[in-house]
Amino acid sequence: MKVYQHENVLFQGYRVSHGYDEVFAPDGSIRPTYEFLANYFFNLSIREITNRTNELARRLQETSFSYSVSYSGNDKNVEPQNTANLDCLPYLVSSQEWQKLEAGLIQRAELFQLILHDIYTEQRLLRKGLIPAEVIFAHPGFLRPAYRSLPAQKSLYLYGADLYRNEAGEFVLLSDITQDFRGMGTSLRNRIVLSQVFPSLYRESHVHRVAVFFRTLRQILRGEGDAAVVLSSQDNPDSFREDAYLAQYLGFPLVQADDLVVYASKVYLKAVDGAKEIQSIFRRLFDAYCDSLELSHYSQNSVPGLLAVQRMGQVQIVPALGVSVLENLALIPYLPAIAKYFLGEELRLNTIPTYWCGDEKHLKYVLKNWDKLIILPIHDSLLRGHNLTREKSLQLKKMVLREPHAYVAQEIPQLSLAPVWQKGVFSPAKIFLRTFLVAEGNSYQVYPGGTARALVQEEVAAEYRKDIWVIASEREMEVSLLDRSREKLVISRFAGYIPSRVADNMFWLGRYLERIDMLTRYLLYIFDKIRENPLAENGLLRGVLRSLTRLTGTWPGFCGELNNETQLRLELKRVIYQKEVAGTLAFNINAFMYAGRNVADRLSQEMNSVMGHFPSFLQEKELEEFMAEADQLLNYVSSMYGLIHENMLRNHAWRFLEIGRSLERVQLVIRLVSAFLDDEDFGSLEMFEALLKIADCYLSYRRRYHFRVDRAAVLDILVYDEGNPRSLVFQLDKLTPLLEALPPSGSHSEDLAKKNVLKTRALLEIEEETLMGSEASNKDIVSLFHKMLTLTQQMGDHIRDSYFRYVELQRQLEDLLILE
Amino acid sequence: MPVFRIRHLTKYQYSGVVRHGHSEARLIPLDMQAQKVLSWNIHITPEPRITHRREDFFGNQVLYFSLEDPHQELAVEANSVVETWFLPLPTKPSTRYIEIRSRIMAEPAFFSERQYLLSSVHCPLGREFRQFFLAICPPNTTLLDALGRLGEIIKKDFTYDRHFTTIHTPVMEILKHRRGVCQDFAHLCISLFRSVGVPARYVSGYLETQPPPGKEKLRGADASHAWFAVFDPNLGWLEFDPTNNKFPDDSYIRLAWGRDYADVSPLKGVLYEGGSQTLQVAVDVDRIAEQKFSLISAETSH
Repeated sequence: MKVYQHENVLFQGYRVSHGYDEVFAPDGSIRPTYEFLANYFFNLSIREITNRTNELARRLQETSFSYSVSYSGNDKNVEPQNTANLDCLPYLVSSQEWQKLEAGLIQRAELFQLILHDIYTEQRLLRKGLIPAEVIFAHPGFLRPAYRSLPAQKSLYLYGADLYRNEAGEFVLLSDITQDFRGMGTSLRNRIVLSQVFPSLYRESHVHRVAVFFRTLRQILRGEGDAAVVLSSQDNPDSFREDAYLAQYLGFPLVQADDLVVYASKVYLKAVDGAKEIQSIFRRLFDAYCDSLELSHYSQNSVPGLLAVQRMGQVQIVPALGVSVLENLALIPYLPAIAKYFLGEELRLNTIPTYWCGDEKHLKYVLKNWDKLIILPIHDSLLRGHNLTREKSLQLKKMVLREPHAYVAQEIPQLSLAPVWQKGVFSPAKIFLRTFLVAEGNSYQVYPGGTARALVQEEVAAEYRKDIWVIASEREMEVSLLDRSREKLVISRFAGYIPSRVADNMFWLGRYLERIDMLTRYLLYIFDKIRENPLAENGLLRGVLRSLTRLTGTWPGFCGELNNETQLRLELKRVIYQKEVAGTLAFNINAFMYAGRNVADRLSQEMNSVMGHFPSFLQEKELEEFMAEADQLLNYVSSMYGLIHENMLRNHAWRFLEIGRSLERVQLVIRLVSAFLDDEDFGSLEMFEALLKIADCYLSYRRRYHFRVDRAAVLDILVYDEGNPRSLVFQLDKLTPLLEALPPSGSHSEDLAKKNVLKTRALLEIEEETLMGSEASNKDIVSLFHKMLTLTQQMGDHIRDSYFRYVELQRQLEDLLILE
Repeated sequence: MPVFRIRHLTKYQYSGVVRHGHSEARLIPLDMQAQKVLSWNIHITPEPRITHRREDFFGNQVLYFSLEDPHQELAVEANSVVETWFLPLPTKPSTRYIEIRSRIMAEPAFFSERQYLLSSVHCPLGREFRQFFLAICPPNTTLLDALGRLGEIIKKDFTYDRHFTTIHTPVMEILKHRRGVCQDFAHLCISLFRSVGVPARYVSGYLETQPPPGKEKLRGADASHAWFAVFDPNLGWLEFDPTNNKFPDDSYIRLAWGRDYADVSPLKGVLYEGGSQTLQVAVDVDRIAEQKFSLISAETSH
């Protein structure tokens, strides 16, 4: 085999000895499709390419969903993201080549529509023996309850394919996708980011635009009105982020199973202002988890009754419940005959030779050629991989012999290669391709692009993504999701429903943001003092530390027996990093991120990108290191405040966020002041200073009272000062109009919440004399504050009861053993 | 040709309030060669918001209903009148069980039976089942004989024990401990037959019971019953009741069939809230007539 090597310095280490090279022809020349791109890169320096690659990584990190946090408190809270792996070099396909591929894919999608319809109705293909019965009956995606439940006209709205390019340069299909459309959102995001980082290259390469695909998808989902949702699940954080991204791009609310409910054979979204009827669902949740009445009985949260609604034709589900039977590798060997039967045509797209082990002859062949084949379960093409150990291979053989119908064998594809940028040079990587189709009229429209997975198999295996560019001979018109129709638009300020889950998470997002803010201020104050004196020697700081434990509730903490410097510093680190313990900084950041991830599609790009910085503070470091960067955390909090103020529409989602923030501020001030008043050292100059600094009122206090220390003066500024955004009165007065502006929930609790605000306010009026006088003991004041705290906690409960009651426990009817 | 009136009452009481719920009932008997449904009705309290009847993939009648008013009690009363026939065993020769799999695989017309060769939720396949079966039935045994031999073994070696099993007891445990109830024996037999390549399916229904001599029949004392059927390419589906070691006669009424119990559960549902549940079931199977001729004159050709 010929070895290509290009003289350009970028390709010094690039050698390909077998397989189709995407960029270089066998004679070493650059393929015409890549000429423009190659010349563009030849003019860039190594440094510049590296810079742009870093810029790609940075932008991907900043796109909404590039952070990942688990809330479970298990280890590995922050996963490193593989979003950084987008390669700077796109994967190019010429229009002519793509058109040929398109024709093959469209034929396949049309054929799959016919098969799907047949499997769930007449089953002629089974009757005639064109598909062996086990290929359908033993596939977990064949949902018997879905029999005769799919829409009669069109049920396969989306189709996708995994492909590769063989040695002859032809596209060959590896597997079909009908349900698991992961990668659709990633493809879109990669396209956007790559075109931002290489604007002129993108502009001048005549790339087919992808927006038109999503416009078609949106039209299909939208139907008459706007009542469509994207149904996803937080259980899989990676795909949840991708779904959120897609939902935001398509402009539909992102919901989870328990946001939806079936009443009277219709699907409703549980919104803050009541149930809203939904006409169509872009389903990203696998069908087995969608309906615990008829599908899996074990799924805890589903939409019971959903299949009944599909059956009655009252909701459009895309992909329809039941389609996953076509993610079926065992169909591949039978498709040529099926194509003849249904279409009278040959298959246009090449397929990798596939053998179904349920067929005796095939099985014989497979066993004879065992080491030259890849064995896969018929329903799971993701388990792709060979190179098994001898032991694993034997184990697999046993499984295949036990249930031959559950497996296929595929020949090992000779993948094509393309360069990826790695450590300052281009290295060859093996390429898999994925693209998608959406129904349009009677046929299908192909996504002009997709994602290429590029596997580098040198010393260390690495995986990259490449954006697929279909290169037109001429430039294309811009398309965006904004509708250009000439019909007169009805002016509206209605931006879709607010699911109760969104309201709930907005509320908590606000609350945790405030907790992070105050805790960070607290820590910064302590750090300031540590820089002057070691902790153990700083006797005056002990009261401040004890109060910190009272505030966070991380008992026994500093109120326990901590004497030497090591113990004290250890405790401080605990308050920062111990994420399992409620009240610590790490806990609050995690909870903040969890809420944020739930509403990521509701926040702006900028807010998401600021939020993307928070998890970096969860990585445990030395105290000194944390001290050096803690003020950065406060900056991010302030950025959030700024964006909330300047960057958000004043809608209900914003209101819930603000209510959360105000309520939390009220509670934090009450708890902070109580924590200090409770300390034996209260009264010292240091304690006053600490309290005022932590409550962010130090400067205003000094302006008014210079260095005089007085309890009443402190309480005045923290409780009664109407001009101080940290004061109780300020925040309580803010709450009432926010609560008034919420939609009626129809619940009695709504009024109770408002009443609680007034009660707290009234208590402050009544007790002004006590608080402002000098007679009451610190204890009296603390107990008064406790009363207020209880009132505001009840307020939170009432808000929950009126707006966040979306989680209802689902149970199965108990079953009885059949006796005689 | 007896006619039965069947009343099947299921009552749930909840400790809390159920806000709403969705259910499916498979309580309407099958129409088939050995029986005809003369009439049926199902009363549900509280009044369902939606009811929708359909035939499921296996040909069973299913009634979907949704309850949308808060309630603490659910009662589903299914009444049906069914005429049954005694169908004598076919006289055509039965197939040797060892040949059945290849007969079925060779004939596309039997595509549907092939699903009853696969493992299912309650009926796994395995070597243990195969060995147990082979020890009882040498390879030249016909399917009809195999049923008889298996029936004898279960009668002799297995104990009917309603305290041993729950709905979740795996069938392997039944084989190991040799005790269980009718549902367990049906599942066990299905696993055994499928493991040697014979399609087998689960049948749920009722059996008329006789009061002890000299006593009156108690109300509500009957119960649901379960048995199974196997497929002989020569003779079609053959039902067998392993609990009573007999081929079902005209005192059996079939409600539904499927791969196993999971496909035919008489009543299932998902509730929102509701707390803990107590369940009561009462079944009455009453012989209301003994017809010399079928009530359905047009369909006496069986």
